[in-house]
Amino acid sequence: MEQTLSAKLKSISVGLYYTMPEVILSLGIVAVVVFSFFLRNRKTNVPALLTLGVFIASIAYATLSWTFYRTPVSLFGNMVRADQFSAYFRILADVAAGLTVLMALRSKDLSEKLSSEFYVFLISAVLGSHLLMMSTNLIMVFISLEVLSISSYILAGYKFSRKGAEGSLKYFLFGSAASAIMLYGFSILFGITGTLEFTSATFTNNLSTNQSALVIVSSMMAFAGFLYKIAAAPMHIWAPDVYEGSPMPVIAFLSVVPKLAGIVVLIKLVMAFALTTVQFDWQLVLAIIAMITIGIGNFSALWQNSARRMMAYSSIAQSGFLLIGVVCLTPQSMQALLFYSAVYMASNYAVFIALQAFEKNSIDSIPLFGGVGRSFILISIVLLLALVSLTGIPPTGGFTSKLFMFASLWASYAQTGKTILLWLLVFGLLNTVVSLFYYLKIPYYTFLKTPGSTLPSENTAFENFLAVILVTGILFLFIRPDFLMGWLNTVNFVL
Amino acid sequence: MSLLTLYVFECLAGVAALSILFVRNVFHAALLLIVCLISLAGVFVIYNAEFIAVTQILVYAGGVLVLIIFGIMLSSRLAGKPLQVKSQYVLPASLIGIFSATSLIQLFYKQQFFQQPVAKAGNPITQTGIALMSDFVLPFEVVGLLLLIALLGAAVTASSFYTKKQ
Amino acid sequence: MEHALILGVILFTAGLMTVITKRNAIMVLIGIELMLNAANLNLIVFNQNSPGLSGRFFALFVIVVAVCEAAVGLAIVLRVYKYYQTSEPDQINELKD
Repeated sequence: MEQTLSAKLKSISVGLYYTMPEVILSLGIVAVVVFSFFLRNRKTNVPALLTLGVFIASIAYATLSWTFYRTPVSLFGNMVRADQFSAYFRILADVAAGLTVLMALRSKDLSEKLSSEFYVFLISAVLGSHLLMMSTNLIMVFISLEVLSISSYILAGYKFSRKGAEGSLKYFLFGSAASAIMLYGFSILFGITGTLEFTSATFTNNLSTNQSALVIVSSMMAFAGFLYKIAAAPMHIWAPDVYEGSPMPVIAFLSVVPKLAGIVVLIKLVMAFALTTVQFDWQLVLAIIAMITIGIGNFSALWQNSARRMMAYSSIAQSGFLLIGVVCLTPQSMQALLFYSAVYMASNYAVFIALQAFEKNSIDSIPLFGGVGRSFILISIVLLLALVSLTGIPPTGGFTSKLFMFASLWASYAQTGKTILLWLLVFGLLNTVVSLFYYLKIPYYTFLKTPGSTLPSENTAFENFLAVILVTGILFLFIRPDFLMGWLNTVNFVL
Repeated sequence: MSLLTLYVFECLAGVAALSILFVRNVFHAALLLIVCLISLAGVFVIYNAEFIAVTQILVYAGGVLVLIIFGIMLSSRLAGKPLQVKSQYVLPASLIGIFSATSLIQLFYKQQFFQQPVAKAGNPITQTGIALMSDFVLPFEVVGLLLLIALLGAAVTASSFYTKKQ
Repeated sequence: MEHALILGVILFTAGLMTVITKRNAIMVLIGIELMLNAANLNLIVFNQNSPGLSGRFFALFVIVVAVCEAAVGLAIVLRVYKYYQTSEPDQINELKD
């Protein structure tokens, strides 16, 4: 007993080296909280810069120790696993959070009331998503999902207005109901398998030997929590209200980071079920969910007049496209998913940064965009390119990423010959055309309508600068996709 | 003897949970919740989870319930009317409820659950302490951070410092 | 089969129905607490037959998380109440298409 205990403690201290980004984030939370005690002037930018430093340190550590993660290691008694797949998504989450800090510095929704606590919740949300991406144990999945969710509920209400409070309440009620259903599913799965480590052989073996309808029902319940996090079909209803009532930087964050975290853990869970011999077609269910999600997102987005609500439905549709990667579950589709997530993150942030710049000049509903292309030339062009990238037409990285995604879906269809995959492919392609109509609605107003009376009243140079960098990245990925893809090819998929 | 106690606690918990559905007063619902949770703690004791049972009573009866009752009082201060709650979708919800309950119970009966004879080990509290600091140290630490976040978050969200009067 | 599992099913469906039918945010919160407790009961009952303490520890962590959720949730309810003077989700409907 003594021997094994000391071995356990030793492995815990080794685990700290692998989870150094998470340690940095936790220390960052404490640092920002303690720092804000000694803060006299609440208008200072120091907490923001401190937070930015925390994210940069986390990115730097993860990038420098990239080869460190080549062989996956289970840490803390199989609670989490560090591998390159999750390391990549953790870096993406950190980059997104860094961009959120930059947006928050210039946000009108936040600037008056911005306190250092905002950054505490931002860091804790990122910490939750990091742990969620790494977790291999249902305890860790639940706890890190709750860390992410609780921070998101608070962040979503940070506008401190009627609408903000309402969006936050709806987000909270939907979210906690979804996670309670998920937990009930977990508890049944625990009863059937006798273990909580869902990547272990015991879990899959016990599921295979005890197959029944209850296995399917309980795993459906378990999926509910993740479908809610990524805003996929039956659990998407909260998205438009939250997007309308939250500050712009928070929306940008919520549309990327929880989504990626949910997708990563969904992949791990589906992988565990796919390894069993249960006679149940997971691909069929997930493909139907993906199709419904894409359809609802796209067709509801067509009727929206508010730019925020349109982007909410757009993000629902995009999670349907991300689900395609989960449906295929081949190494090729995983690479397509990695590429897609990077491009989605960049284009989504570019769009939201541009929308924030427009909203500062009180342009928020789509008709108000009429003719603003003349007075806001640079930011309108950037918005056009970012929206084109979200649609998936050349010359942007969005085209390349959709191409990779559909190519992997086609390859998967050719390999398995399942007709549902072909249906998904056709449906996805058709919906790319549908999405053209709403994505290009704003650029149509900005460039082709008669000039409006709005003139730039606020300085948006910083937003322009940020958005131009992101859009340059998107364009670069169209010309040289191999730059990122070559790196992604080295990522190990031991799932 | 312990089987009889188990039945009593189970019936209490079940009846309390079901009557929450039928009461119209939020305050009564909160009191029924407390009955349900304390009887559940009794069930936990019989299933050899004494530590969880004590936590359940301390945290739920002492924490969550006080929170909920504070919430009820603070959010009905100005309205001045009794805390009647209306219901919606009663028929579809009861159909869904009865259907899902019966089918879940049937599925539970058919299911072969994992079973492995477990040897009774030493002092449960010592074991709990050692496990919290070795096997479960990561969730333990993360939950600690979560408590900090929730504390800060509740304070920021409920404070009138940020909320402008409209 | 353990009869406590049936109690778990009853708690879960009662919680689910409370969430669906009641029109008060605090009532919905009570329903969510019921669902979490149903899961806790399952975890503890199943832990009887499996080695290790993982089920019990899961239940312990669930209790702590439920507290955090309740605290943040009630804070949000209070803030909504400040603006709308009601805690019924149906009457809070400014956000529409």
